[in-house]
Amino acid sequence: MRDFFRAELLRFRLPALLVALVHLLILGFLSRLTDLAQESLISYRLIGIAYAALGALLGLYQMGTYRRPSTWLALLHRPLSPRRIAGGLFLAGGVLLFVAVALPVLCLLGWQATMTARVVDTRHVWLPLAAWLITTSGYLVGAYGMLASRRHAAGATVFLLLLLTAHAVGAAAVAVQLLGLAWLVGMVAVSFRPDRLDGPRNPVATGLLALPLQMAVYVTAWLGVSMAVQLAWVVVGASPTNGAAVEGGVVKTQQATPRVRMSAGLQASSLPQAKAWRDGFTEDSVVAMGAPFAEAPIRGQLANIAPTVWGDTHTDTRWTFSHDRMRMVGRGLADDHGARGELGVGRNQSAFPAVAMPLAPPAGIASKYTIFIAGDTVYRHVADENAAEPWLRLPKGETVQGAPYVEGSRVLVPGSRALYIFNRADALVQASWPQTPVARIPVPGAVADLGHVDVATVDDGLLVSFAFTGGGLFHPVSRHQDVVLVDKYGATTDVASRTLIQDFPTWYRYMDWWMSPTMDWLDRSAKQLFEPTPTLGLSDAVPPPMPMVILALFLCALAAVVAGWRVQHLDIDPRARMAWIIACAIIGLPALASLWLLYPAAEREKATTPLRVATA
Amino acid sequence: MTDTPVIDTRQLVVRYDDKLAIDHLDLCLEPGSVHAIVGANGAGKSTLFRVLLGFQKPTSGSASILGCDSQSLSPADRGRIGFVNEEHTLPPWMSVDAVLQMQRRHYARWNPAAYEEVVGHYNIVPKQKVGQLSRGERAGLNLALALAQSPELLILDEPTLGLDVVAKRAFLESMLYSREQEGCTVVYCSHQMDEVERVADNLVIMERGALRHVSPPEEFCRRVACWIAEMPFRGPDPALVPGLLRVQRIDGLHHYLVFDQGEGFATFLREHGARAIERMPVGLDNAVNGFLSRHHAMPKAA
Repeated sequence: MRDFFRAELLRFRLPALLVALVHLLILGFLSRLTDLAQESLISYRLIGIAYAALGALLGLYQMGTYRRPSTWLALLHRPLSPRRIAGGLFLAGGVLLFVAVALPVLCLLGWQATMTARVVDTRHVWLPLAAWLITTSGYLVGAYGMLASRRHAAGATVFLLLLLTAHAVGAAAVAVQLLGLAWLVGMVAVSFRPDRLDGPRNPVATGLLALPLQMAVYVTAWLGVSMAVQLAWVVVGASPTNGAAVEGGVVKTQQATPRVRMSAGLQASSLPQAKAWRDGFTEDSVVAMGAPFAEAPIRGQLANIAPTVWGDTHTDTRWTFSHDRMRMVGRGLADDHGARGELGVGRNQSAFPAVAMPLAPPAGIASKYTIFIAGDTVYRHVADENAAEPWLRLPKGETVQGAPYVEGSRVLVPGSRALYIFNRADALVQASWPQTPVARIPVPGAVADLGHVDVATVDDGLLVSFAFTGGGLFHPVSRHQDVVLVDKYGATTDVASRTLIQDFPTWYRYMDWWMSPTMDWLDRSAKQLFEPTPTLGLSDAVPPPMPMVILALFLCALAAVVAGWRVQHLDIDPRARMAWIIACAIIGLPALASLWLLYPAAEREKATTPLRVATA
Repeated sequence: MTDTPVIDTRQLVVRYDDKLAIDHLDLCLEPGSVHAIVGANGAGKSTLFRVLLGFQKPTSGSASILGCDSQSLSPADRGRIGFVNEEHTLPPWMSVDAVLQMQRRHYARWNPAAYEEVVGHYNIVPKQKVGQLSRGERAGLNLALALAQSPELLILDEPTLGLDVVAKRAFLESMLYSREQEGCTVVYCSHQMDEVERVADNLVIMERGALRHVSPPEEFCRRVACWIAEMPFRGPDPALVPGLLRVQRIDGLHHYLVFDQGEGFATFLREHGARAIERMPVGLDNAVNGFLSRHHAMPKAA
């Protein structure tokens, strides 16, 4: 193992050093333009994709040079177990990628931590490790692509998709990456054998190769059919998102202006004044507050789901929120880039109770002052005191999920469970800070499904429309619109409620489910592994209707029957045959497809076909 | 050394889709000899080696090597089998010395004298990168490494392909010398009949995946004869000629290459009008060539 490790290090040492140097130069260049430690999730995802591609290139090239029959034979025909040979080769690959990827990231962080006033927190220590894990995962995906039969070589790519879509954050995200990497190591290990094209022959190897393959088949089929159908609808002019949306449906509600949406909601009202309200609306009198933020920043999160940096031009300071100190840390904005102290809560500069998100001040009130939302409180920057003062506070257990919005004499703050109303006049008096809400409007549904919140001031109070159109047009969740009235005393009255028509047919909305309920569950479980508790709670998912259940059962039964026929023609033992039939009955068509791809037809099947003698 | 066959296949079949690469092969090679396996391209020789070394699963039948099931060879079993292929695959980025050190650590019965003896035939500098060696030098190094492993069985799959005359001679001499010293069994696969004639104790002819002939080379040569006959007319219909491998007409004389035909063949020719008949001995190259050309693939128009 050591010999192969050394030999492979020797082989790739120069390219690895060259890539490390180029990588360091790119990071150095980018760090002149931006603070790479404070980048957004999308930026980190793009960088992660580049790392995974780099790793995949190494894996494809390295194993591509070994997979030729004569080279493969020369590599493995020796008194060493294939696992030890693989260990040497892949360990060397891992070390080379550490040098090429993790080391430059570590260098950059070290430079930022020791030679600049930029914020480097403990959470950033995970970055080089995460970069290495992602690159190494790509490496093993590439290597598996070369080692495995072409029929199922792409199966391992689902782990890269998982890294892209996993909900875990911070150290938990690294744990997910580690688990993915461990699975990939298993896939490569069982494929690294003399007859690498033969199907897996023991239960562990079969499970290691079959499950990702089934997921790959499932995702490909689902995406493929979904996109093909959408394309066909667009071509024939029947696409709900492209001009063929039904009145009173989810798409029309999404596309409507706030006035039209509010009016449509009020049409379902039996209150006599509803018509007058509708008639009195102008385009400007109904305003959209938008949907609440889907997530809240979490301490220790690797990427920033919202900006954590803001500039105070009055004091020429760029403030960055530090997860370690739970305060803003300042540095010169334009002149010396030197340290400018810290900014915390109150005169004592106390730590924020949660990760603070700087936001532009709401129009119509305190428009000169940056505000921060952190946990259950909205803070306002008081420049004279260089402190963040608690301004608007929600009841315990709530978190602020959006920017405050000024509507007439009220300030509206979206929370994670309800919409809160504060008195605008009181909010201007610093002596009475933090303000508590004068009214609470419970969200009449799952906050996670909210697509639009619109408000309009009427003679009787404030009308608030909640349209549950969020979370994806095709998601099988409860779709409805509710309008409530808040009177001047803060009491709420239900004004109207209507069910929105689903634009897409049932079979289309439940396609990811009926294609394979087991894979659907596994997909969700994998993405939600180590996920923190959702801030907005769970979606109001509607269970699949009976026809979809019947369709799913039929497909599983069909897969089991076809598998029962197929295994008779495969060179696998009887217990494996039974296991495959059961797996197809549980998983359905993806399992059947994996059976087809993993095991080429055996000769008993081919014996019926005429022979042609080999001449080449 | 035991009497266990070094290679033993029973009804071995390998199919690639609808092609039959090995056709119900029953092959048993005894230890202690140099066995030459010859056959046209696509005869199944390389496929046979891949199956024997466990790199390909047979479609049906069984194959064992040194008494071990070829599909479950342990690392220790592999240490007993040397293999040199036509490409002399060695890591080009490593120095000769680094490759040597790596190999000697892997093989417990490493024989440095055998290595030095073989590699001495070539102008190889230890610090030289493998990628800088000529094809002949790489072949010599590969053979030296294989022989120094002290294998019980050495499989050589067209090892001299592409080598010049000098390199080829050095390679064969090295192999023969080491075989004498170590006494290992050699399975030698080549298209070069002069080499086969020189090194082989036993000749195995494969054709289209099937075993066609096994015997010492000289015995095979004795069974193939070339009859030259002066025929006044076209001569007999080739389909009626017993044991016919090939017929050619050169300078008005009919040359019949036949297999397993005694003096009775002269009678046959006379009965078909031959006026003058002469029997000529046949070299191995010609004999094998004739033997294999009977069914060799050729364009439909030919």
